[in-house]
Amino acid sequence: MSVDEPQLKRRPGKDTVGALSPDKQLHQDSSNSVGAGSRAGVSELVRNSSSYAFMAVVVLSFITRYYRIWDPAQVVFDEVHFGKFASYYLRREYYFDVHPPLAKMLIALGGWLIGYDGHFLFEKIGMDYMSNGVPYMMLRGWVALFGLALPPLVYMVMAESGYSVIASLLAALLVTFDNALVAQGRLILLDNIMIFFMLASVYSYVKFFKQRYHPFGVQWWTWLLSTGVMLGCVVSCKLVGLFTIALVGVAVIFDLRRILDIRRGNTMLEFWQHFVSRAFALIAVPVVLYLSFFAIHLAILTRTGPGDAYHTSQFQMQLIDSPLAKSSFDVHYGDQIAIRHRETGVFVDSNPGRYPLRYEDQRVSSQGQQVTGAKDKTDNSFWIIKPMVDQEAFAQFVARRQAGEEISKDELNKWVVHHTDLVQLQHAATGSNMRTHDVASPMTSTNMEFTTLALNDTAHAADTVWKLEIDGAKSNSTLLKTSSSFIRLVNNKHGVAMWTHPKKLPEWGHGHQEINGKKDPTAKSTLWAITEIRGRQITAEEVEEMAKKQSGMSFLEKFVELQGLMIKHNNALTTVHPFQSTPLSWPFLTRGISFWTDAAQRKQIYLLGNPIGWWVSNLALLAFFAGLVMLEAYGMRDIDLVGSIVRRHILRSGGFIAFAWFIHYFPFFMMGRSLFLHHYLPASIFAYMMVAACFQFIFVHPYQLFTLRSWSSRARALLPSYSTGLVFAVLVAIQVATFVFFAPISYGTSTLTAEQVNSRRWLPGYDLHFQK
Amino acid sequence: MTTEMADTTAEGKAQQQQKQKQLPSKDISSKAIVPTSFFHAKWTCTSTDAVLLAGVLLVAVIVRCWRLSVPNQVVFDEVHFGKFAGKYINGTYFYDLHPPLAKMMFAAAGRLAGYDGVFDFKSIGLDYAAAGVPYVGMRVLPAVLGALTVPATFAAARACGYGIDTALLASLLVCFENGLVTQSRLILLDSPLVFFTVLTLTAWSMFWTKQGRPFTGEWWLWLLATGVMMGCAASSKWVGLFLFPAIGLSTVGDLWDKIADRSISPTRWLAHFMARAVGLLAVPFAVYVFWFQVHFMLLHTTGEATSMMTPEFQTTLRGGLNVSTDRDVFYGSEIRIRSSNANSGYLHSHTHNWQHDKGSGQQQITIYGHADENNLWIVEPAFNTTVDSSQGPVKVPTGTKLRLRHKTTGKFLHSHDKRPALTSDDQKFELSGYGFPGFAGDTNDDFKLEILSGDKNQVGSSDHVQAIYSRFRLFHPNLQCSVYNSRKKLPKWAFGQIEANCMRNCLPRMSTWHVEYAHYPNATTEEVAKAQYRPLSMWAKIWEYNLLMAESNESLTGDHPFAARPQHWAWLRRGTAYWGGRGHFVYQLGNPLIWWTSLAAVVLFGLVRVVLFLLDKRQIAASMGGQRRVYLSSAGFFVLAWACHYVPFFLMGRELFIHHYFPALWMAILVLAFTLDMLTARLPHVVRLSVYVVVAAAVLHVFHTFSYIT
Repeated sequence: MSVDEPQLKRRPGKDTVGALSPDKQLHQDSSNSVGAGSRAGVSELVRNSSSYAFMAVVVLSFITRYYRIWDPAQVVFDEVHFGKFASYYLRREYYFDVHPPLAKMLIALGGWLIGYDGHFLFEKIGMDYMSNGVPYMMLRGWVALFGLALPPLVYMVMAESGYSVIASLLAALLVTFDNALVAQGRLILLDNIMIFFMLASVYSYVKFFKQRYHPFGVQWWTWLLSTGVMLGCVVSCKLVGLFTIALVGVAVIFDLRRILDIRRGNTMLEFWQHFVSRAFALIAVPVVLYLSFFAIHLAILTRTGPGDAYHTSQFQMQLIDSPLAKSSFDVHYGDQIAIRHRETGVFVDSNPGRYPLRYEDQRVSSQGQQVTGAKDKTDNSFWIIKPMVDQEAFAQFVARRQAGEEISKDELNKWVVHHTDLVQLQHAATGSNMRTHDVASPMTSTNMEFTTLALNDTAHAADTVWKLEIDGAKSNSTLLKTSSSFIRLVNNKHGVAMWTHPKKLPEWGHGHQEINGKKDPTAKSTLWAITEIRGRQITAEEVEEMAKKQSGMSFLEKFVELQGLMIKHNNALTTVHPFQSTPLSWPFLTRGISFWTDAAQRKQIYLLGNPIGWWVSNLALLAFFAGLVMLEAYGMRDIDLVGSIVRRHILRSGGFIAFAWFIHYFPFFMMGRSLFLHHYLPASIFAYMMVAACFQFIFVHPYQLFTLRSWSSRARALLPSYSTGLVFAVLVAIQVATFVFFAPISYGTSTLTAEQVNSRRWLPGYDLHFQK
Repeated sequence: MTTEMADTTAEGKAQQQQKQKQLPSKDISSKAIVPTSFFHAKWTCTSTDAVLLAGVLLVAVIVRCWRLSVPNQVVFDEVHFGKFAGKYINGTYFYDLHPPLAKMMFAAAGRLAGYDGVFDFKSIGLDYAAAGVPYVGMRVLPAVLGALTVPATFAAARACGYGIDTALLASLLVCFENGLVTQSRLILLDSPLVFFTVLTLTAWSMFWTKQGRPFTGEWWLWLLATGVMMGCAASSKWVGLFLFPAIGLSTVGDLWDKIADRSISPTRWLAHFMARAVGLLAVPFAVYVFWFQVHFMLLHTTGEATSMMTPEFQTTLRGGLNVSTDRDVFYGSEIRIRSSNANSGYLHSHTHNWQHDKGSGQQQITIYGHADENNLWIVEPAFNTTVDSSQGPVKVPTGTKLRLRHKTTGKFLHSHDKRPALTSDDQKFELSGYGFPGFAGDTNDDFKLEILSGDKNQVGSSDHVQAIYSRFRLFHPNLQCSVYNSRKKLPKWAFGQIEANCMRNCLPRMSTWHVEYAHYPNATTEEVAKAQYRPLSMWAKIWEYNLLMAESNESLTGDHPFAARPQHWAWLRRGTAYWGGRGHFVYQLGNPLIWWTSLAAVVLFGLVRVVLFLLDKRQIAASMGGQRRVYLSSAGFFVLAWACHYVPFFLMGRELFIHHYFPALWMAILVLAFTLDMLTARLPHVVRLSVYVVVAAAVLHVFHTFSYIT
């Protein structure tokens, strides 16, 4: 098939048809000029080539993803987490994770469908599945369905975007034979599912955009809503989905700008209709979906589990069998309580030791009795809580209690502790009251020293009065409870709050933490909890009572709390992992991630992209950006290098793919958390699409003859020239060859000798195992 | 066909009727009305301008120098920068996380005022008068620099095309900004930084007034002045680097527009491009390097911070490290092993045992900074192997298993499946000293020495271990881990030394070691090859110093009581307490009226931009009192500069203070003045002037109210 020259120089839109859409042009021009004659000359094979190509992609994708999916029969890498979470869903036990729930619930759904009961907890990489009776093969097969769908979806997106059969096929084959996507694609991991929804969103949006000359029609609404639903799903898999939302958001802004332009003849009313319908479908729908998935998540996980500890006590009380609920009692005046710091977990401790007169930096102390934070609970950790009112009645009450007298429930209830009560804390072991005063604390000169004051020293008694504030309490009648209330102790006179930090005192402080008065009493780090009342045990009737009156928390409250924790813990994921990497290194593929090893058989799974494929994609991206700048710069001087149809396609579709790559990649540079190579996988798909796009921009001419109307429609022609076919064949052949070469470390199915391992060590950073 | 990026069909329609050769992606309407880059004003300094410049300078000098001697004690960070000035005068090496220019200026001022570098500025509140420090002389420098920013503001506003009234208002706003005043009365780096930042942008505005006559003398003058000032700003504090995106973006936009200008030939365009590349990239870079070179020339003698640098760096300092050792390492040699990439010291052991719960209780292995007997190790062949040294000493090749015997205690360096002291990470293992008389050892004593890189000028240094030249790792084959410097301090029972452990899959950065001292006891010949550190070149020194600066900036995460996050700066939630004493105190707080209104002006600009965009799309004309072009281009540039100096701080994890906002504040003040001009453009002259007077009076009043703590 040869290039039809006359096509090339045709100016667009010379036809009488005014507002002709570019894609319409693509097709109409060709059907007009190439006409029936050429159509008749095209064989059936060529006309159905798109369908054949699509089916080929499906088959190849199936083979690459499902090849020996039962190998290895052990826990691999993050299956540790996601397998475990699936088990928790099936056991309905509460867990906490930084990712939104959809993908994990889908994995669990697969498990549920195949009848897996969640008995296995995937504790360590390398644990055996067979001996533990886990239907892992079915689980993997289920997740791999999403992996299987990626190459066909890429084909569909490309074809819908106006690329030729051959360019679309190129993109799909590159993705099919990428080692990282394959390695990731056949394990119980989230990324497949996330990328699936990401591509589905893009596909829907492209379909929607093509309906722009039939606004508010059935098709238009279908694809708009479908975009919104898919966006809701992608962001419910991983928060990285926000990048996909940003991609569609920016595209929509450009689209709205087009509609707003008065020369298009739209009225403002029409503009607002467009605006509101998009806002509804692309903002409201995803938000509702996101919330719904959380609602399902919380509805499934009703039992207490490993995630309890992350949450507030109120949240924990909602879970069935929560150990917290079983240890939550009302605190009464006169009780001996142990107070524990929320963040660092130390108990407020006091001992007869005194602060040294002079510290190393020459500052002077009060030489008062030490009040410190101790890791262990001892006799020194108990404080008697005393009221500031009704002192006489209180003294009687205490005396009667000590005498062992039976005290009625009603009377006991008079002595409960409320939010904002003024209290004193008397150290049980040494009998003095906790005090703070205007002396600089030992290690933090801006904060006030904590010490104790003898009971008979009335001159400074005002220093010993504390206002007890319960975190989150709305009225003064809120009761202080052990375990479930978090409190602040704010000194009534000085306004400072009891605070501690992980700094250890020197030898004289027994290595305890420093406790002092912080001038900003609202800080999170000033929260404490009462963990225990000395001698208090739960009674059987209390257990029953508790089960009845678990105070309700609305879904929205739970959601807000959970979401806040997710963001907080996501940002706090900064512990150094040996295989973490920096975003800059990703496109160059300088290092992979060791997923799994089997020393006995010298097998391993090492996550590594297809090096050649990734480097070629980088070149394509570079070529695209350079070409774009050149094209535009010439355009500034009204020189058209490629003809307006190609030019518009480069700008619009090429620009969209390039921006999609950019937005799925660059935000990572601003993240402080530990990052991994697999965070680049979504971007890598767009990079592969860029290769195919450049291939089309450079080699496929005239455009009109080759572009597809839809992925399932009939093609008019297949190959512009044999040299183009050669380029295609070479690119695919190299990709496949590299894929096969690295396949042993992607599948982990074959034993490698040291020599074989070393031959795959293309870059010094590929720290494969068994090099010797 | 995919999406957006350009609107097409409508243009298609419009263009087909209007222009034959118009390209489809061009948005003509917005192009014509909204200039993408700076406004081309033409301003030459008249005599009126000159008089006013002198006038505002005088006012500013009075405001900034008023009772400069109070307080006569060390205030806030004068602790650091006063001390550093002393170090420059004495020539002793020090390290600081800021570039050197501003500190050197203080040193020069101190030198001129007669400071001898003896007083050490040890803590806030120390008395200057008693110590006889010429602190007033040193404070004159920031005060004068601060005062000069005021006439510079006037010039910048004039160069942007504004009238005398607006320029005067802008300079008065800068003059009576309490925060800027406080900052420029003390020995702090921000006054030079703000000064250079302001001068950069003033020169840049002046450069734009010469746009009509490119490549003339004045054009070059202002271009190069911009570059030099930008280099100086970056050499004062890295915050100055934010000027580069601000100026860079406006340059790129301008160059892009110039492509469309058919009166400029491609060669001429290239000349424009090259001139800017030289003036705005090469020149600042040269300035930055130059000041560092001066810095290293002044600090020629070793000082307390020397040990933070690499050994190669230390050898360049007078009285610094001077190592000369036997080059070759043999079986039986005594060696001292240094961690190559962190300057924490030598692999060390001593007769004390591990005391952590999960450990083995065997002898400690640590990293210790000073060379002593306990750092000496003897190279021995691997367990159950021998090396025949009868034919003369045998060199140690790369990739061989060997054992390291600790010289003073006789134990072998050993690792096993126990957790190290400071982490329970299952990738890390404890290192210990193990063995006792009569025990042959075991295979856990074996380490494989793998040379990672040799010195290319030293033949054989990548095949056989050579002191200093060979960089290697010590790999434990049984556990598949490498000896690793965790850079964390051990508790008191290990004397606060640095932890060493054995880590799996670790990167070379903290697991690279080299031999710094080697000696073969039974040497038969006198003549042995020696090895020395190669002193670093100037470039390498600057590079190393800058890397260290970057690292310390990142790790600056203290809990200073007055640290403030950027979201609180722009609306001045709180200030910083600088100094307090006997009923007087210095509290660094801006003029709230200026902070709030300038922020409002920036926000207003954003709104105006959006509204104009929408109106243009609907082809509704808005001329904004004829000020549209001037306002959009000049305020647009300064809003861009403001964003460049503000937004990046949100991404920084390090400890931040409100004084980091000052450069951005100056830009916001200019936007405020421009906004007032735009808002009053349609009013009668008298009304407009009275609005200005009221604003100035209000600012002055607030300034006066807060001046007691300023």
